[in-house]
Amino acid sequence: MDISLGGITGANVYTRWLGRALSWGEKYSTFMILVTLIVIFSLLSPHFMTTTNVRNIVIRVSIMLVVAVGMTLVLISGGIDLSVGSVAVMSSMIVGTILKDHGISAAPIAILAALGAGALVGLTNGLFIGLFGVPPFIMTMAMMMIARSLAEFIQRGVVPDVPVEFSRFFMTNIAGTVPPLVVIAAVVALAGHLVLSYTVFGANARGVGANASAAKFCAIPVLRYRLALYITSGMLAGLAGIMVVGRTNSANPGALKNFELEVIVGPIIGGVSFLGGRGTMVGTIIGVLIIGIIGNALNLLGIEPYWQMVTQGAIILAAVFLDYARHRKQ
Amino acid sequence: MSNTPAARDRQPILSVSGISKNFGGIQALSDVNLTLYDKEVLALLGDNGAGKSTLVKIISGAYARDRGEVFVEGERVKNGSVQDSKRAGIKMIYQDLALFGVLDVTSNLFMGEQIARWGIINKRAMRERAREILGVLRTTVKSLNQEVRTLSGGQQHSVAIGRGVYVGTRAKIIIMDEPTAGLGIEESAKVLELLKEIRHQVAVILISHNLDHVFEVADRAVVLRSGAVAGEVQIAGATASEIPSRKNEIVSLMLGAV
Repeated sequence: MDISLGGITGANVYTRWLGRALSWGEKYSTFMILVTLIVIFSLLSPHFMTTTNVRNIVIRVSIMLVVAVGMTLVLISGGIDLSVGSVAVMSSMIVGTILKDHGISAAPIAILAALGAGALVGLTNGLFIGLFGVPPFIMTMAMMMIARSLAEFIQRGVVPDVPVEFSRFFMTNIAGTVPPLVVIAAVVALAGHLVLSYTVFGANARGVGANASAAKFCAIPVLRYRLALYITSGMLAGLAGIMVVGRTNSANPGALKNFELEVIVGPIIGGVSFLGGRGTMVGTIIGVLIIGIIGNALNLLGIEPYWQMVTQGAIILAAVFLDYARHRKQ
Repeated sequence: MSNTPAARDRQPILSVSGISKNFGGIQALSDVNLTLYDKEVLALLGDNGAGKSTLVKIISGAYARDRGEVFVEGERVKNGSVQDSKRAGIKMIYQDLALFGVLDVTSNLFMGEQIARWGIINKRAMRERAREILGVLRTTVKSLNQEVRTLSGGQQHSVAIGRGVYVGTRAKIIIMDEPTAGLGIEESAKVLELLKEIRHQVAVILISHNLDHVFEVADRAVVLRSGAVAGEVQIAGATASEIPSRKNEIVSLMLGAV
């Protein structure tokens, strides 16, 4: 435990104003980065601010955001979930295969099966981490490999011929503006925000992440929280898989490469800490938008794939450094 | 049983009888009896390994006892259940304070015991109560939104003690494990001040190695040696001239040189 001595007393007006300006700057820094990126990319490419491209970004970000909401809860509780990308792919293969074989009338069953599979992976993660003390990084990395293999086991290759009604449901604009896919993400993010900031569950989950043994002394059932959070993360990854099928009208066992990294880096950029306890859902939304916009712009500007990888690596480094700097500050 | 004149006719708030505990063949406690009266500060003393920590962990429910019973106001407390001990009004303040360093003051005070309805927390009520609690403990912080790790040692103790005494189920017995260990003079004085403040509300079991601190705040001292009660020394009411001899008595009991 850090113990620092005494607070600053007798700070004069100027230092107080400076302090306020700095804390304001920190509070809104990621938002300023987001705005700056939008301005820069708009200037660099005439295609960036077009309706089609903005729609593309929003849809892509929606799928990421759904998973990032679960990731934020897991990170804040002191864990990490590397299995989400593979779970999303597995879920999309389940949905795609069921729909292809049984038609659109099987959609409810397909959706339930995909969510159930996600929940099952989450339960497994939570049990091994919470009950047997396997480090979250190791456990969920193992699940990442297992779930990816299961996705390929379900169907070797791409499932192209998913009934078109399925994607029509997800992608047809409501009131001529936003498709249901985006509405789903907005609802999930709002729910995540409310749970994290206004409920006993959210407050206690934060406690588990900030100091798990102290949480036990406060009579918080830590294992139950871990289970609930990893199950939530798994189910939201499952939901993202369903949304992927809804967007592309197909399922591909090789899809969503590096997806888990994007949905971890997004929240971290938004102020969620690898060390647990800290972060907000609003920060996560901004962070995921930044990641989504950069990814889109790099494609739009015709940057070669290996330079895109370098950029993504640099962003991960920057995010980790930012987390470290924030934590060290005091 | 206590021979304190003031305590003789009172009903004990906590009574511990015949507690024994074995750790893999090593007898950590054997047949320990202890009585604590309301609004009394009882110092629990003993050399390292005498069984102080084991005993308070059994009382707080963190450890299960092999034999014996714990009663709060005559009601039996379940064996080895932190929840049940808490419900009975026994609260422990850990040596490392068990705080949440990266969370703010209010979150720390109410962790696990938020003011809430249907699972929705009432932040405003919690902040108001937090201000009251810090006021009672005469502690000022720059802001309730401050991360607890940025507070001074004394302020951190206030948060931990405030949480134990004033939040959640009403505390009847507060156990403090070495609250002044590792603190500077000023910070120790603050903690002792806090202790004097809360003793109007609750009974306190204080584990300490510092006899000066013990004589400043405690009414009685019980000395453990090799897992058994070696003796008891009256502290409250001792005159200045009696203090040195009573300190000697305590040290003799601790070392077994009687």
